[in-house]
Amino acid sequence: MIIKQLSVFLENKTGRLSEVSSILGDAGINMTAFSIADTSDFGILRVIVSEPEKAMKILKKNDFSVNLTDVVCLICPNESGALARALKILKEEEVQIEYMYAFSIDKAANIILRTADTNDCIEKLQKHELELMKASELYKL
Amino acid sequence: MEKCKGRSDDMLIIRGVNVFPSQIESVLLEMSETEPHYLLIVERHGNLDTLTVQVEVQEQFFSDEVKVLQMLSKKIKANIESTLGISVTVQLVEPKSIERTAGKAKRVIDKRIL
Repeated sequence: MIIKQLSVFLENKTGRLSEVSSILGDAGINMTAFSIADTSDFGILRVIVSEPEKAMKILKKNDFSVNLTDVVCLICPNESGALARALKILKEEEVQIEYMYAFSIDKAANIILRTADTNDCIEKLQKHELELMKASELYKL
Repeated sequence: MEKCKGRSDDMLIIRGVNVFPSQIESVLLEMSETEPHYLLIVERHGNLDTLTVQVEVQEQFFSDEVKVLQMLSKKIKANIESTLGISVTVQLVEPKSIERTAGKAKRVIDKRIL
């Protein structure tokens, strides 16, 4: 259930994101979802790719600062109130969210969650029978 | 007697304070999170000189979380400021993005028009 997310340090300079995407594209790695955290000096690209280990190796070879972060992918029905219900459970279980972003496929909204303790978060979500996406399924999208 | 700070012809005068690039290098060397690769950019805004220090982050200290990187940047800033006695701006940059030159390294870009 743990999903490896690729995190890349990006300088605040034009063309950095373009370089990352073309390196990954040339290597035949597909991106499923991504988000960027930006500050005044730098950005952090967080991306779900088809082959995280391979992507990390290639980016490292190209002198990028990269690491793999454990995240969870929660599947929500694409309807109003679904996210609120899921977040209420997390609130009641006192799971602290560091950041999250979402993408949708067909009828489902998928939410990538980064919490302080990933295993603990998975356990609590499963206890409440929330649907989680398997890493193998997500990488294939 | 104080330790020798560096060559006098490397010295920069920023807001009336003598700054040796080697002082910044020694601060960065003392910190395990940073590499001693840095670039100093001196600019003049109005009548005020500003010093920007670009520092490469070691790969193993790169974190996915913004707050961790911002804390690192603050720590570098505080350490440099306590050594130099003037305020600086710290910019974290990608590893190996600062030019490596054979022989004497170019560490300072002085954009002031004096």
